[in-house]
Amino acid sequence: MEPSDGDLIAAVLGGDTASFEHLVTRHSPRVFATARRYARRESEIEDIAQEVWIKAFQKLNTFRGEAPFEHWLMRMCVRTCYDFLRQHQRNREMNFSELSDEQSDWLEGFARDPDNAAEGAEAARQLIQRVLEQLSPAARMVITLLEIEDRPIKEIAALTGWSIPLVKVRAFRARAEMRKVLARIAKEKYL
Amino acid sequence: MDLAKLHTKLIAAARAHPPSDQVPYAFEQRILAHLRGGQIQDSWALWGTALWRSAFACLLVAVGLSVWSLQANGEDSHDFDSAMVSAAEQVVDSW
Repeated sequence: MEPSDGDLIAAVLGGDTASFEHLVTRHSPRVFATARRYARRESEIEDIAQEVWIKAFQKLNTFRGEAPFEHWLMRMCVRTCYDFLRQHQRNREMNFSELSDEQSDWLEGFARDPDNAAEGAEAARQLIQRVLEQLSPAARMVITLLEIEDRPIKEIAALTGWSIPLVKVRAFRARAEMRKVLARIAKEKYL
Repeated sequence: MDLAKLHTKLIAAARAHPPSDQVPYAFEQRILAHLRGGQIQDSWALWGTALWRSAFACLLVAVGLSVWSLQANGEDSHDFDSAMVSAAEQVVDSW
């Protein structure tokens, strides 16, 4: 039988550093999936994951065990991703005339027949990625958590450490920011 | 172009393509190696802190000794002055 997270944490706090490896193996898939939402290069993703685990090790004595370890870890992961976005927020302005042929074709298909534009198309995925990269760190974080991951406001507040009213304000601003970016695409593409 | 619909479509596209949860090979071993390296570094940091503290203590002792020796020298120099002045007075008297 596999030891529980609680057992492993108790062992690590008791001085058995090797037990930490089991925690890393068990929870790294979620950490990597989260980091891949905010960073593109694999080296950056690995840096984020490494930072999350080092912070988790250093702060493990603050884990009180009232909520699952995974929730505690994901809070740390989301906050590390936010810090990453803030550190890499320069050079966000890009020209949408640089869209690839596939992305342009998808947009033209959408303009002709919005209901039948394929959501599963790779071009659509690339396009939303480029749109998200244009947003401010807070806007990108809120759009990702609220609209893409479909998390409730209360959970976003717990993950980010923001108050519930602040999440609501940032969600409102993020949608406006995204509308602006989409309007810019439409303008550059069709005017 | 219907921007609200474009927004909805693009969000749906992002949902349709969740990111991979693949972990690089031996990632957990690299983390452990890093943490063990950090612990070694920490012991060096502790040694450095101890060294600085002892240096500070030595400095305090040195300052204390200097003050004490200056005060002691002050008394000696007073004795020395009075000995020299009395010698000079004796020379003047002999003239």
